[in-house]
Amino acid sequence: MRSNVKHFAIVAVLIVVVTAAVAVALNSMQLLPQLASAEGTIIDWLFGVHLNLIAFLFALVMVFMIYSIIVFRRQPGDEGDGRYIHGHPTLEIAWTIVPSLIVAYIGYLGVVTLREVTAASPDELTVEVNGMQWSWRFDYPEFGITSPDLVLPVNRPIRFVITSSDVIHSFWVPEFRMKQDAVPGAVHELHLTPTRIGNYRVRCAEICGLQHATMLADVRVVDLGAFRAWTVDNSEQSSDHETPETRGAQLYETQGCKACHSLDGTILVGPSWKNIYGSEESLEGGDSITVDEAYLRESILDPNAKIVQGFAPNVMPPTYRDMLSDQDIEDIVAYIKSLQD
Amino acid sequence: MTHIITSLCLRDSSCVEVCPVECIVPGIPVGEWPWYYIDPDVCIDCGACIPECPYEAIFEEEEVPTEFTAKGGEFIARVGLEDHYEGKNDKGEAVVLDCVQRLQVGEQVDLSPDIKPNYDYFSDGPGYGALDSEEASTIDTAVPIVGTDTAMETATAALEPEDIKDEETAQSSLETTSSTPEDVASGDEGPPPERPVEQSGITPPLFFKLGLIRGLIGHILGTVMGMGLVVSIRAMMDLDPWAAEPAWVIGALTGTIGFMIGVGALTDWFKWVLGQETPMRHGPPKDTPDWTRYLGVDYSHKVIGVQYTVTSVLIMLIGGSLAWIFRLELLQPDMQYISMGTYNSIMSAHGIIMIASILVGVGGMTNYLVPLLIGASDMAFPRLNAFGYWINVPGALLLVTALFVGGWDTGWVGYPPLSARAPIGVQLFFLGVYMIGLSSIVGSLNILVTVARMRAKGMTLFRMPIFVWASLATSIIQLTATQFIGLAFLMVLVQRVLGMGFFDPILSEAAQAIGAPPGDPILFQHMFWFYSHPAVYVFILPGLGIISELLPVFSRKPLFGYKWIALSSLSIALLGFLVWAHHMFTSGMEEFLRVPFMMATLLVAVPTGIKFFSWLATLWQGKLVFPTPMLFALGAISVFLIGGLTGPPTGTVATDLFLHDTYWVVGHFHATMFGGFVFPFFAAIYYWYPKVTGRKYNEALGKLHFWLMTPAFWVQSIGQSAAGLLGMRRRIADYDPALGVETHHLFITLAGFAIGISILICIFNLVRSRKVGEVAASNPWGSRSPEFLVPSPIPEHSFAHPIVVEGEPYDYGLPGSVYVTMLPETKTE
Repeated sequence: MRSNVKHFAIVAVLIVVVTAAVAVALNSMQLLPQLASAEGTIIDWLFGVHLNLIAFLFALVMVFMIYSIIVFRRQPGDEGDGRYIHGHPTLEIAWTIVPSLIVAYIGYLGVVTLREVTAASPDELTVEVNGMQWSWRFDYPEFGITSPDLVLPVNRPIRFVITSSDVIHSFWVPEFRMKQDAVPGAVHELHLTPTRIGNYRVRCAEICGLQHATMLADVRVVDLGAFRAWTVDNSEQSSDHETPETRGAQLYETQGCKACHSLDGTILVGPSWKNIYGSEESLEGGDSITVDEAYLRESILDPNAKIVQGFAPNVMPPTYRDMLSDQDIEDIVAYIKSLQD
Repeated sequence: MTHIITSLCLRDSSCVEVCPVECIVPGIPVGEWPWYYIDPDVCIDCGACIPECPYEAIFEEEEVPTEFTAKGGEFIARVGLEDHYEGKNDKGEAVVLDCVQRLQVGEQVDLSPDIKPNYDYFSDGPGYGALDSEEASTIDTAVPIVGTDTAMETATAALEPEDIKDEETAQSSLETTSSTPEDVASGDEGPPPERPVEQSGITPPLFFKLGLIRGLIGHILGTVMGMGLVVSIRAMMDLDPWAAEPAWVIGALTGTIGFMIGVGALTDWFKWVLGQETPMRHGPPKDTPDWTRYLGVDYSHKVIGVQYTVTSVLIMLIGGSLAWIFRLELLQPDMQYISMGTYNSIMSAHGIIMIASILVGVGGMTNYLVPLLIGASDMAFPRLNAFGYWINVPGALLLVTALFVGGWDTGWVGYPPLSARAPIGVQLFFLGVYMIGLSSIVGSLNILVTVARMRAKGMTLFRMPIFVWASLATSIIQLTATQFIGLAFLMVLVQRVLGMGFFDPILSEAAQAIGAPPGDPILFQHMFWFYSHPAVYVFILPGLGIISELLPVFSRKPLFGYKWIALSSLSIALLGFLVWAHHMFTSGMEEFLRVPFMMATLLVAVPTGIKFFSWLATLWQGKLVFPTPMLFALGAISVFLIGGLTGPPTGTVATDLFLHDTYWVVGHFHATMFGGFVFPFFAAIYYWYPKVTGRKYNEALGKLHFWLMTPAFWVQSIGQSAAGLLGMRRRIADYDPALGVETHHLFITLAGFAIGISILICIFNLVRSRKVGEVAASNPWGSRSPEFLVPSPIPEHSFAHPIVVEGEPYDYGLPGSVYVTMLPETKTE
């Protein structure tokens, strides 16, 4: 028994030392990206609690295990068995109750933090987020702006209204910490307050097909003045330059066309739009076709109808017939026609 | 080696039956080589054949006699003698020899020239080659076979054929030859002994007798027929005859059925309809070497266990190779070697193929071990067991084929609407998972019934080896939850092929016209995770059971808190059903649901903690030894600890909103899978390898495997977790260099390759030791478990006598305590 006490004393000291060392190491490292939202503060705090718990549990198990491996290894020549200890009810009850209490406490912290990070604030700016294969569109209903980039005023609570027009995506800016899936046919909200001026990126976090990896959008958190200037510029732009070509260019940016169709001749997943109008293309199956307005319109509405050789079917979402009006399609066709050398 | 005196051999076959290394062969042709021969290069000198020979023709090295004194009436056989002998061998087949001489009482024979012919057979004679010759099969089929199968079965079922033989041999060896198994078989309740003798003179080569080969042919034929069906129906309907998707779906279904018929796992009903008998078979099929058992339908749980395990390792190699490909790609930002589409397919396939490998590996451990650990001779439903194994093979084939039919880009979760519009490969992925799920269901049913009904006398629930508890918990989950993933995948499959919009939120015009309600993609996630979360406990519970099983043996101490560990397995299984939606915290499911799922999730830490603490208490004050299985058990604890510690941050919703779908989760999942399955799986392979093969693995290579894999896995795991915290998303083909995770990826890739190499070393070790390993004793580890009472390798009918449980399973260190004894031996041991 005396030796048992000695063993436990050594182990206890070691556990304290290792816990402290691991906790200090974990806390001193910059494990997370730059923090840029108010809600993120709460999440980072809870994460810190977890890290300290991890340090303690890691030390508890590893110290006991490595100590046993070193101290209780069989000595050469010893053929006997270990001590006959088959259980200890008090100990077993203890290590059921104590972890249960810790779990209850962590659960309590979980509920409190959840309530705080999901709370809505008064005076929120609404931004409608629409994910599509494989780009993002941001609508600012207050200003009537539609933008491929996310521009946010610093320290202003934002209400993101998130949906998708094809498959499930997930709206996530790591610096803001929180993510919310964009689900087609449903609308979900996310409340965030950006607290740090800077450039970040929206990164789609739910696999959404071929180009999931590059489904990014630029985020600029700017001061209030810059934000006002941006809203004014963009509102003007959309009303001033009212030609079909500029509207088409706008749609190219905001409706996801740019994810697959380049403007400079580079072949992405889909054909480049440069010089495509009027060209002769041979189709899968042997026929050939001249790219005219009717063909462009059909390819937008029913992408699988005529696939040009070298490109795969079922890649372009068939959802544009619901997303675009006739006017939109005309604008896009006009824009494509303008992309000639 | 063990010596055979050829002149005393009258071609009884019982020595062949017992030889663990298959080194005894009958001479062919009989006129030239009239005896049985022992291959001196392969013989391991185990002596198992010596007591089997009714003519006492086999001897230990030191005991080879030079002279034989006849009691009268025996035959000796030498080429050149001219008496005629007719008798029957152990299988009841006729034996006719024309080169014998009958001996008179007291007649003495010099035996010294009769050892050499044995060696000549392998150096000058045909040796093993004769076995494959056409003559071998014609000779054996030409022999009139009367009641061989049933007679043999009864003889083995009677459990004491040796005793009978010994007695008779003492009286007269001649009498023994006439005392055929038919006598033993009198009163046999089995079907009338009848077997259609193959009529045609052409016997197919061995290659085509293998179930696997027939199955693959059946698979191809089935696929073609299914596709043909689709094409012809479409042609009749005046549609374009070729539509890839329905053709592949129907082809995959009929191909699977074709495989099962070809392999012979789905043919018993047809045979019954034709009035044919389907007797239970023990041992390899007639006229084929022992190894063919493993490539065809066999009903022994030990064969099926090995089939499962080997298949698991093979599938693991495929999944691992895919990981190697995309780890190379992820070494640097931008795409270097493969396209994004290829990456998505390979990444998705890696996930599901590894999960298939784990499920098959779990089947291997439970099938091989559970009957042995509870003292049963086999599983409750051996034929169902064979079906359950074989359905995995076409399942795995479909998963691999999916890669070549366009692949799929959904990850292993297959969420719609993405999976509803993914390439065709996704359909084969669904069907492959469906088949493997079917295997889970029938396999778990079998385990549950076996444990409930077939335990040895005295084996109460709380006296079962702890692994049986783990298998029980796992089987409960498999039997009750697997249907949900099957159904979820089936619904997407049907949505794609038949246009039923179960999960389609955006309605087609036709659906809108009739006022159909939109589908709900989130419903799929609920159904999917209702299985797929408990499934991870299916993966880890048997592994944790292995850890609990091994630690007492190598600590020489009782398992601390046996009942607590047993019940913690059950409570993990039950809690597992209440936590599925923690995979969906960001999905936009009902807000208020997130709290109860968070609580239930965190609660899993309590029974898991009980396991950890009990393991540590088992080690405490033990006398630890560290052969490879123990190293892997301890490594498993350390790795599973990483998995456990990375869990709670994903359990609390607020932190999960950040961590969800990042590499943190990838790290967490890989650590739980490696700690909960891969490490214990290898521990189990090394631990039971001597029982399975009769030989020891190479300890140095085993330790090299451990010391390469464990640190590498730590590096990989920490690298993945850290990259995830910096914003590295899951399932992306390319990453933004701005995240600063390039170094992480370098380390993860290096570690991944080290893990792969270590597993190749392990496979090399296992394959090599099978031939050259040191011969293993029956109980190399000093275990108290029942399977260590019987010889290595374990005989066909595991326990020669029923076992009886006398005490507690893990009372190491309690002098005089006994766990199991084998009747009718005395309890003095």
